[in-house]
Amino acid sequence: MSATQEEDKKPRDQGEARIILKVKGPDGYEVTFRMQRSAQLKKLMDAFCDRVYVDLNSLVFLLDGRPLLPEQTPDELDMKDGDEIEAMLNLRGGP
Amino acid sequence: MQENKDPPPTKWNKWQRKLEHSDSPMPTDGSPQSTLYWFNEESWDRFTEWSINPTNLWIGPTAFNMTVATRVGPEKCLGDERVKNSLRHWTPDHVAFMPAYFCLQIEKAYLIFTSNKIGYILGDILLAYGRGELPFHGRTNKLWGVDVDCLYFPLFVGAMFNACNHWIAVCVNFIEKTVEVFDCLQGRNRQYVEKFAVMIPRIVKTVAPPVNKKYLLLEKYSIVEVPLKARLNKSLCDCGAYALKHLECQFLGLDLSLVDDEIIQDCRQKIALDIWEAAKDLILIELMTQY
Repeated sequence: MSATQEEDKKPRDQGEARIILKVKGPDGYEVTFRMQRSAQLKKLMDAFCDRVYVDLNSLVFLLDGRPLLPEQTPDELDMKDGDEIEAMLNLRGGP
Repeated sequence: MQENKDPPPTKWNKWQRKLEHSDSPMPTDGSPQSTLYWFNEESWDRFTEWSINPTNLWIGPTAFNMTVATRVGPEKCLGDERVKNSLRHWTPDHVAFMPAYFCLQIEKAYLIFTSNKIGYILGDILLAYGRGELPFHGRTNKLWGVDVDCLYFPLFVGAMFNACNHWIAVCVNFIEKTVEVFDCLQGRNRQYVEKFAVMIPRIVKTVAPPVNKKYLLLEKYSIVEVPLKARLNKSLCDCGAYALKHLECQFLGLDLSLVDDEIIQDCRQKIALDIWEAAKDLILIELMTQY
């Protein structure tokens, strides 16, 4: 399984704490992101969807089984370095 | 997460619809129809025994647990790569099975393509599918259009398309250059499969060996809405199971009219059992560790 390091190209803010998070796709593909602890998870979700070539609306992101909202931040969720977020297909049919 | 209120598999026999709809016993005589739903009692007993104390079983990156077992049908698990796993025992040749994830990637690629047709270049992900390198855990290294003649996949036509949530089955035939659609509700799906008819010829041409390339055109494949039995899926809850079984009929050369509301609940149970058995298959487990 290939794991890729997503480096933030913007100049680093010296005072801002950062966190490393892993996102695992429905097919097992993993991408590692480094982001600010106070930044919204939407940034990470958008970057993952761009990488795996799918629309944001078709995935749901879970941390320990709990769905994540794009406007939440790692600080709010008390996330730790190396936490793994699961991206699942959000496709439910029938009715 | 929503709490799962489905009954445990040990009680599944109580909601088999065949008991409500038909007084006659279901044939288990090896007829073409019975191959779609029949399973032996011993396998079912082992399955229900597992359900009393369920442990997670892994098929590649996805887990088969009680949540999945009780929801097999119109759920994401059904539209996922489990199609391939549930069909694997037929040792398919010249065919390929794609996960629902593939459809989402084609959807996104098609949007980019339509905004800039002249400058569009196919992404590596789509080309990897064309070369049989994706999905990771179903890698065949077979070229579309050369080693593969037919492509099968379930397609979700749901909220993202501003329509009701629904599964249909699709078969792309590289020989006939057609995209065949199997919809138990017989809706109009041309708009949902257009992207495959446009994008797949491009993938096939790009991954083809140089000697074949000059004979291949980028022309859109024809879309065929395959006629099915009328008034299927009266419950409106079994589209996922129908999609799988229509693919199975197509793949095995069975008459599509064999799948109907009388047997669909049994088909659903068989799908669950097939996935459960696949997850315990030692050869498959060994294969999965390589990806």
